[in-house]
Amino acid sequence: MRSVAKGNETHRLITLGTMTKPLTVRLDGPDYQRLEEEARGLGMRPGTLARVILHANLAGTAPGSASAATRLSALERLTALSRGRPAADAVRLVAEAREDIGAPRAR
Amino acid sequence: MAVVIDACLPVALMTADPSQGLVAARFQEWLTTGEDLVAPAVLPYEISNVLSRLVFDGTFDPGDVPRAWADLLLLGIRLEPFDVALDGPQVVSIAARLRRRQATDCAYISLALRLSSVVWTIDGRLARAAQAEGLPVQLLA
Repeated sequence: MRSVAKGNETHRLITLGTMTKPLTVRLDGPDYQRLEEEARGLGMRPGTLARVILHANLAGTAPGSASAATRLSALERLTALSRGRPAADAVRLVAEAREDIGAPRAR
Repeated sequence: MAVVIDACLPVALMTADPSQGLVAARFQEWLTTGEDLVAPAVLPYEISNVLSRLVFDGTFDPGDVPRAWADLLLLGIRLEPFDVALDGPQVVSIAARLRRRQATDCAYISLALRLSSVVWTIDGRLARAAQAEGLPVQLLA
């Protein structure tokens, strides 16, 4: 990400790196600020959230307003992610994640 | 009535957990009937930690992470912010009743109490401990 001054305006450039095709999107200040705030709230980088939003819209609908069919398709894709993966214990993974959140930092 | 989704459920959907089929079937039912799925706003942080660990361990493709987040968003789980006045004291009280030193999962129970709802989980220990205290946690089985 970088800032580019153009006349009196400053645009923030976000490069959305995908596996094969990078895409540069030019955002105005308020949009970038909102994206950054939303991303911070979700614990993501702004570029990652931008990619998520783009993907969701290309999939047919924006998050939050998805139809049942879209939500069921998302459910199917989520479960497909685990195909061919080693066995996992979701309860243990979440317990460890919760311990990480509460873990004291070394000083 | 809202359904409070424990973080174990979306994690079970994305990983090869033995309960995945059970969890997916219940989600299908909730999504088909239009249930209001909710979770405390800590959920994305927990899932971020889980995904980071899986990617670090080499058991989750980093290229799949954006797609996983996109599809999690599409499930439509509404995130409820921490209500300091209500949840603050209640979460600590629940943790004390369950004899726990960390309270993240108690935030789910506090939210369920606030919404007069139930937490759905596949964590048998949490469900049994909560039920013994009369707290609204339902084991998905």
